[in-house]
Amino acid sequence: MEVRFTLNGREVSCSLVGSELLLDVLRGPLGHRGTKEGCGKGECGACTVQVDGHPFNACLLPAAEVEGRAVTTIEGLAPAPGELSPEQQAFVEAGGIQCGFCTPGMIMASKALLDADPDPADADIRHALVGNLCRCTGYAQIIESVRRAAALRGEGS
Amino acid sequence: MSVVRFPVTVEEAAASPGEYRAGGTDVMDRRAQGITPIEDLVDLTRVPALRAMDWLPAPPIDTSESPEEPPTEEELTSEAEAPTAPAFDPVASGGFTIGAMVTMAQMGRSEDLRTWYPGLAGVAGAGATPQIRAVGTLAGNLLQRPRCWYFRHPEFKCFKKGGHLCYSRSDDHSLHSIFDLGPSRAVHPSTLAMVLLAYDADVEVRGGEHRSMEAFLGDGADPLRENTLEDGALVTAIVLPPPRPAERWGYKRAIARRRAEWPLVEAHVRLELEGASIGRVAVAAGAVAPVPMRLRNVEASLRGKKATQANLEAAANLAATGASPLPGNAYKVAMLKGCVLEALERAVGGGS
Ligand SMILES: Cc1cc2nc3c(=O)[nH]c(=O)nc-3n(C[C@H](O)[C@H](O)[C@H](O)COP(=O)(O)OP(=O)(O)OC[C@H]3O[C@@H](n4cnc5c(N)ncnc54)[C@H](O)[C@@H]3O)c2cc1C
Ligand code: SF4
Ligand code: FES
Ligand code: FES
Repeated sequence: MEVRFTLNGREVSCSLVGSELLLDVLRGPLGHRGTKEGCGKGECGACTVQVDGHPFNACLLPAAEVEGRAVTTIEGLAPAPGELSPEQQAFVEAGGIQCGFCTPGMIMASKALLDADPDPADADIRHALVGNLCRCTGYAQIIESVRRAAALRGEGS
Repeated sequence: MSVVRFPVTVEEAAASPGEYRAGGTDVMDRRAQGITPIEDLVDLTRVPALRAMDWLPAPPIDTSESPEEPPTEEELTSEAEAPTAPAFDPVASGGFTIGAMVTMAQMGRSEDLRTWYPGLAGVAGAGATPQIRAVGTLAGNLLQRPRCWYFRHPEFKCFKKGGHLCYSRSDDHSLHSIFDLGPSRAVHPSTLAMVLLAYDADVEVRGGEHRSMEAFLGDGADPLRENTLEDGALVTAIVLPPPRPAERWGYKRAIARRRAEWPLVEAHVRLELEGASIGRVAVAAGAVAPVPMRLRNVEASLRGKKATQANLEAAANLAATGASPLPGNAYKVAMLKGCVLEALERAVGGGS
């Protein structure tokens, strides 16, 4: 079976034998290693990608599910090589990254929040990130990073 | 190699062999852990008929007693008083149906649910995590398998996997049931099942049968299943009774993490005040037994009483009647009373 979808704005296709997960297809044949695998069961959010604008755990999603849909991964955020998206820039500036393992998922979940609500309250940020675990930062800098991202996105628009 | 089938109609889905996959958040994890014996998957995501949400027409009024006169010729041709369609009134409808494949996020966003069934929309839209809510479906939530760690581990063949003992009873049962309803002490994992039990909802099974939530969930005695659904049967929708605008609701969960985790104990309350007294009331509790429970004794003790703190406390104190906790989960008895009390207080206070 062949699955075709848009990955970061480009049409891609991949052949599947059965219920391979989107996470494995992204990291394997499609060579997009930015999306991480933590728990593999929907609890940590390290594998978060956007599908048609909503945050999804790629570790629970069979690749066949994204047929005809638009998938965005962390690799799809930067506007040009060598540049960072406002969300990425904000995490760097506000110290939202330590070891970095949770970061792609955190940024994808934050972007999904900001796409829906450009100026979220802290409670909304916490609510939107309950599905993303971080073992390093203690979360305060991550909340700060999302606030900073909201500000940077506001400036850019 | 396992096969994934993608039916597009309810009939095709029901005829396809394999385990149904809705949002996949439970079934994919069980497959990865190697604890589901079924190889093939029947993916329900391409069956549009399972995604509908709509009001149902009011049941026909019984006119057999006083048959109306057929309109006269004059009435039919008269130009005055052309009947206009009356404005749609949900309260007079036949209720609201939610397709099996509607996601928790869609339930949380639905204007109809938020306006008319806020207690359901509020809980569905805040459960688990945003990533899980985006894919996790109503039927999948009701039919997810328990979280007991022995059940989830491939090496333990307990009652729930056709074995002959329960590991949790003599070992770690800290998250398990305090009501001893059958051989397994695993608690039912579904928050929405508990809420829908309080809503007196029906489960619609393919073929058109409606089963009350209580009959659907069963008595919790069979360790092999957490409901009465026959093997291979397909849930097509949930049907809510017509809304009650005067109703208030309250939900409380006790949880180790703030969200993003199954609760230690949870409770849901719907009630209506008649002046200062409590009228209709429904109280349900979850994570304390192999099935969510309606706490009828708590309800009975509240009905007709003034909504005073003392009366709410006296009722909540009945919540654990009949419980027989294990040594490691006796803490849940007090927690259950506390959750019921707080859900009652929230409902009386206006709802959340
Ligand atoms: C971090 C985390 C926290 C969570 N917290 C909670 C919580 O507090 N409360 C709670 O209730 N849940 C919680 N969940 C569980 C989550 O809500 C469920 O996994 C989800 O709702 C299951 O839906 P699904 O569509 O993905 O089900 P699936 O995994 O697709 O299916 C589950 C089961 O239902 C069967 N099934 C699905 N649809 C049908 C149908 N139409 N007819 C017949 N059988 C069907 C499948 O065959 C399967 O056996 C949590 C999950 C995570 C990861
Ligand atoms: S509680 Fe149920 S699922 Fe857990 S070990 Fe006992 S029989 Fe198995
Ligand atoms: S790897 Fe997907 S949620 Fe943890
Ligand atoms: S930065 Fe290390 S897990 Fe979050």
